[in-house]
Amino acid sequence: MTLSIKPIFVKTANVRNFEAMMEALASSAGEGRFGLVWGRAGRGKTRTAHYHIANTRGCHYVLALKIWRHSQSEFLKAIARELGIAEPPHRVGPLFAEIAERLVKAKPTLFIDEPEKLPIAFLEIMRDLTEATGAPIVLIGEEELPAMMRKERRVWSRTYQQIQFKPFGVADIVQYVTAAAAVRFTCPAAVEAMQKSSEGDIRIVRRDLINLVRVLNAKGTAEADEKTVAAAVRQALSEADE
Amino acid sequence: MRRPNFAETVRSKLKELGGDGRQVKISVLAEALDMISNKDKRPLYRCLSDLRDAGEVERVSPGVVVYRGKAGAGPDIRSAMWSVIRMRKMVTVADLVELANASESYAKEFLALLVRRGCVERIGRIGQSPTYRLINDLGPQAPADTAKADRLHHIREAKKKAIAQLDEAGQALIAATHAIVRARMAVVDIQETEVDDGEI
Repeated sequence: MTLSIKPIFVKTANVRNFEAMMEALASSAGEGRFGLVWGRAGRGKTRTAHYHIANTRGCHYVLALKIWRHSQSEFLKAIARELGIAEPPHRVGPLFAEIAERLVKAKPTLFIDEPEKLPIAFLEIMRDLTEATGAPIVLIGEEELPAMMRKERRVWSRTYQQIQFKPFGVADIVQYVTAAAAVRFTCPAAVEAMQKSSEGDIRIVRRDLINLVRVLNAKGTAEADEKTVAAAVRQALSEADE
Repeated sequence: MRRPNFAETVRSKLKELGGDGRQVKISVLAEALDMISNKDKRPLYRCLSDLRDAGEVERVSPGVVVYRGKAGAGPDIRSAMWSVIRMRKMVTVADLVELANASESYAKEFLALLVRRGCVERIGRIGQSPTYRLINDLGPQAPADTAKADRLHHIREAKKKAIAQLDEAGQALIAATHAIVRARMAVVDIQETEVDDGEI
């Protein structure tokens, strides 16, 4: 039997919390509000948002770019294009009005990724948008984002839901490794070794799994013990160092 | 079997004319439903208004709508794949399988269509999988698969050409018949005069 890694989206604890947050955010429909998703890089925030947006109607996604920091107009134009406004007005006033009109009509959920790269004044623009239209805005960012939002009282008071993406836990790793590659851990120490090596970073778990599958295929088994996991992790680390 | 009600008929016609998020003119929709007079069209306007309220139909400009599908249902896989490509800018087939719940073959087929349309380009490989980069973002609506429409268009063009050739051949036949008739008449009209053979 040869093991392989299937492209599969696994609903880990973070994903389930994210879905619960989105449901709670939808239940307060009608008023301007923010959702906040935060956590260290490599926790799967953006991938979870992509999965949710792709499979849910009325969701739009904008990745904030550092180059917009001097231009609120560029930021608004990116939102306009995302909402399907083919020719966004050049002046900021009409641009804002057209975006607001679209948001009022369809009440989509707007996801803005990495807003902490933008100056704090941009949060006020987002607040104006959500307040004027009732369309919820979900902000996705790293650890500094909650502090940035707290500084803006009016923004923070409209933050109805927030979740922190926690490190990939032992249960998440077992769930992912079993679903994606049908690998079975023979003892808790094996999965703990993988968790320790990855420090809860989903990308490192993926990297380690690729090596683990390679090692297990060479051995002709689907069962991973502590020694096999340690060998796979060592191999992954040496490849990463090269 | 239960007959579909009017809203279901309108919905099915909308899906047929604009199932891929294409814009549909209300006049074309009315024609497809055999509604000619303004009086005939009134129930259609009422039905479209209800569908708009339910979020199933969006009015994009006067007299033009887009069918969005029933609220509550998730987007179709094609829209989900397009959404993933727009968000990530660079994708592999595995990304579309994982994030848009597409099958591997459908993801490959869709990417090939986008390459033909000039929306994405193949730029290399991540591990063993080819990577595609978004180069022409057409907006939130997934590009429609016009292969079927193109085939129909070709068939119609070929038909038109064949009919024109048949017409031409028919005209030639008529002209030839006229010529034969004229020739026959000319032959009949030849006077049978006695020819002097010189004998006394």
